[in-house]
Amino acid sequence: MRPAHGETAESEGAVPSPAPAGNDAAPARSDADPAEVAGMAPGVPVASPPRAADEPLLTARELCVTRARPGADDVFVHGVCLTVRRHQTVAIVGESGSGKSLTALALTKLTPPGFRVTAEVLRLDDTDIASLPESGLREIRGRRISMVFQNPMSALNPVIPVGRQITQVLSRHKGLRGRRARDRAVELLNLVEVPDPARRVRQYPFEMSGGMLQRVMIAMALSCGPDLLIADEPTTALDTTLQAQIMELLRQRQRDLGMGLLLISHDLGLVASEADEVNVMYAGRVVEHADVKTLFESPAHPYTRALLGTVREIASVTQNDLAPIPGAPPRLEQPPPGCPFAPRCPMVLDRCRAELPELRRIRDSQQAACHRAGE
Amino acid sequence: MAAAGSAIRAADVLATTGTARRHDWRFIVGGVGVGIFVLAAIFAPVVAPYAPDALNVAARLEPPSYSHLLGTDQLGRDILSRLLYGLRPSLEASLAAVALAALGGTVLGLAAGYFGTWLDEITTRVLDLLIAWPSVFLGIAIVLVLGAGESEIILAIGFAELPVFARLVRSIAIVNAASEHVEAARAMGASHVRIMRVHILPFVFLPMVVQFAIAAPQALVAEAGLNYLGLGTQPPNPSLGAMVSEGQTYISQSSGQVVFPVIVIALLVICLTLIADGLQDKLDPHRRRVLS
Amino acid sequence: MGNVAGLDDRTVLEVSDLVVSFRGARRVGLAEHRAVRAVDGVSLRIGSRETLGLVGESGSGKSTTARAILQLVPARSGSVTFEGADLRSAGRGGRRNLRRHAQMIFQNPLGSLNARMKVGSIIREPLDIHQIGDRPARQSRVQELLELVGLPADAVNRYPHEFSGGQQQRIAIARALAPEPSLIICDEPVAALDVSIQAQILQLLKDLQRTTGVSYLFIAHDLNVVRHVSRRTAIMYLGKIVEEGPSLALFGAPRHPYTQALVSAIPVPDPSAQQRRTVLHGEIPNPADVPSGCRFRTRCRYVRERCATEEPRLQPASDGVSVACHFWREIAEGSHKPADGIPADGPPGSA
Repeated sequence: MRPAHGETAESEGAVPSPAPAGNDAAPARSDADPAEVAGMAPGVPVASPPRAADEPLLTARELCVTRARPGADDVFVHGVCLTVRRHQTVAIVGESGSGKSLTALALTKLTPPGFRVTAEVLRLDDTDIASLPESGLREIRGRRISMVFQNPMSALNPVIPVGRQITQVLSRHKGLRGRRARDRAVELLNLVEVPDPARRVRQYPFEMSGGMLQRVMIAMALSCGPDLLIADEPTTALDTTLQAQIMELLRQRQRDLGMGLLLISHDLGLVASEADEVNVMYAGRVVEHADVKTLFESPAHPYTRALLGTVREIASVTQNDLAPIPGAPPRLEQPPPGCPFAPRCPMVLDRCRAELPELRRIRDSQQAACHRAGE
Repeated sequence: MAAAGSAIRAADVLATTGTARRHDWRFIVGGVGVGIFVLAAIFAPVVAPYAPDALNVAARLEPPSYSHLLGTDQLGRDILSRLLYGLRPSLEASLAAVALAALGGTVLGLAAGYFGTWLDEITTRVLDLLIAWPSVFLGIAIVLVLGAGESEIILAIGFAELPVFARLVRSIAIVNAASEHVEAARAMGASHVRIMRVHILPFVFLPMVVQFAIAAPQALVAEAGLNYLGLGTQPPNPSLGAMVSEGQTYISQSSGQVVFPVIVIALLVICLTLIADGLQDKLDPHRRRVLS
Repeated sequence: MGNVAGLDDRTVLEVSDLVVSFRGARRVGLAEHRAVRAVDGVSLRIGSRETLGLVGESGSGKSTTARAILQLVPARSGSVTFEGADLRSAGRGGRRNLRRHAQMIFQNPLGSLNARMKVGSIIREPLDIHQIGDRPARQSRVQELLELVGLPADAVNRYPHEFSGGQQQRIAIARALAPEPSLIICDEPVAALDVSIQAQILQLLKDLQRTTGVSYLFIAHDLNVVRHVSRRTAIMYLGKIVEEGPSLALFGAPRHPYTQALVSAIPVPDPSAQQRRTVLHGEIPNPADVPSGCRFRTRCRYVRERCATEEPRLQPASDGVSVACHFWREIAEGSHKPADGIPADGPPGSA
């Protein structure tokens, strides 16, 4: 499945490194104002409004992804609700089969053929995405909502030089052509700290390393100054030292552009350091939603607790035996009645197996879908 | 190569999901058609009204009639009977040729793909050479050396079809030889023979079946063509291609001798191709998606 | 032979100055044909019932080291001694012994299993290859192994794709255990698995070590995982080991600047933790074009002149840890400032 223009991807190849740069100091950037480079009107200062007061940028209510089958449809995402604001990083945490990636794709209706996306509300600022025809969606993708994927190898075209893939996006959404587009592409590469961008711009994906390609992906995703960036496991395929660099990059650009960031990951450590709000997904549903501090300090849902426990055990300095969560996430094709986590839950009651718990408020900044939440 | 890729994907789907569910009309029509012809070929001696070489010069070049359902040829022989008797050598020869190609192709492709290096280089060059020669030219060349006859054109067609099989098997062998399960087998101490037998050949089987179905109609047409040129079965033995060639001279007087063999060949090809098409579509999800 | 409980002092594997070089290797661009030393003088030692962690990023040569140990790729020089036999001189017997008593599990569980083979045959394969026991004995060993790794007995007749990732990895582990190996090389065994499943597999590996006494060479890039399972760890960079020693000591107070960067980059599952991230800049250099002197100098914050002219050797430092850095002591004491004047313990966290 090939994402539309503006979505991003990755690949391999080693390169000689430049002279050692200082800690956290970026190599020399172009003098261009980042906002201008990102395609917004020249000279317009980028406002940095306070985080909490921002209006919701992306609103999704009862988002569902289903696939038709004779008999009953398969439901992969059940009624997910999401809100992302400018300058805010919202994370979706989950393991395989949780539906987190499908949720991300559903936001711009990029799900694979055969999958249907429905929602009560699906809005970007004041644009109603749910009712947009395909042509309207294409306008949004890449320009107002961009995506960065885990494995850029499958999203970048291997036979087109990297620079041209960036200029394709620029020309499609910004109407830039020729020399101006090429210059802008070089500027963008510089912005994402790709060394020697003038040379890199002409290279093919296979000539670049994983970390470099992920930066190219981010450059493409940022090229039109999107309002929302969706990053699906953006650093999973990278080495740990690169992870830090890439996330640093995203954070800086987010500050500059006032962008909202939807971060999809299974890595709780990454989420802890990057996210403001966290949604935990299990078996296609959001089972817990909280601000990051609350989630890590007082998780309400047994799954969140178990997951955090496991991660902390592994991360602990002792080498004690682990107490892993038994069993495995359910296959979406056979949803059991009641709570999907019941078979593996240490706090399970009979009620849990029969009755599906709804997401309910535990405290101000926390919701959980558990009959025993808050105990 | 697209066909090869399709065949490989087809095999993967079949292996992981078991047999497909819907009954495809192509299998039914194609299968029934081929089945009819095969039965006709086998039971020709029983079903045919006349002996294929029964001369009746008085009744030469007659149009279809009650006594000769498809008419007679220039020597008064019953066309229908000759058709029925001619089916069998055609089908046998095509089958033999494709089997030869499959066997030879597997051996070559496996060796080349698995061992690589110089063996692969040489094999690829040889295959390139073979591919450049259509079966007609190969047929002529072989006949020049070995003389005309059914077995000789089986050889010719076999060699002509071999490269496709070899390349198919070679690419599967290359992909699998580089895979982790083969690496694991090597780490366990498996011998080359074992690896080829257990870890590569099973992946070859299903694509081969698909390729077989694709090559069969090609071989049939080639066989008819070579017989038309007189390089195969020699008279008075009937063969579809030879009938067409003999009947050309008399086409103004009685076209049956040309038209009916051609119709038979065309029908056979259509039926075989339907089966191949059905196999590919049923098993290869990519192809199916494009069509729907 | 094999893993006998109680002989805890025996060295199962000893690698000495291993060098593996390729001509125009994968990592090199199209135009490069020079010899690339993917592994450039690596030495390590694993004892009985011990786990040695091997950490490195892509291009470090850790996977190549593993394959060279198993004789899957030829070594240019250096020795590999397995169960007391130097493989260079041990001939076919030594090699056969290696193939039986040293096994490997891979990162991608499904990829390492033959999709066309039934699980029972997959697990039985090492026994078939080495002709261990008769048919009934092999069948019962397979059942035994299934139970050992926590798989249902009816798995024998099913195919790998019918199982989840975690279960597939268990199948691979069962297969590796079949010939009673004394060493299992684990190449990123949990990287492709969900966290909750990772914990299951890691615990399984630990339990198996206790019951069977097998040793592991545990290769990974996830430092938490490595620290959790390995008694000792070696850190690789561009084909060389730059730091090596008891895991807790090594990760507790890393001495080599690269290890420091790696350790500080581990995301901590705690939003209020002040992460003092040593953000490493640049990329790993092209292995065909290794920097002179210390290979890490192009990304090192503490680089000095000596680093370009003299290659540091791995030398004992403290607490049983060995480091390959000219200035490890000064860096640890804080008397050696980074080249750009940023204090030695990193900038305040960016989290």
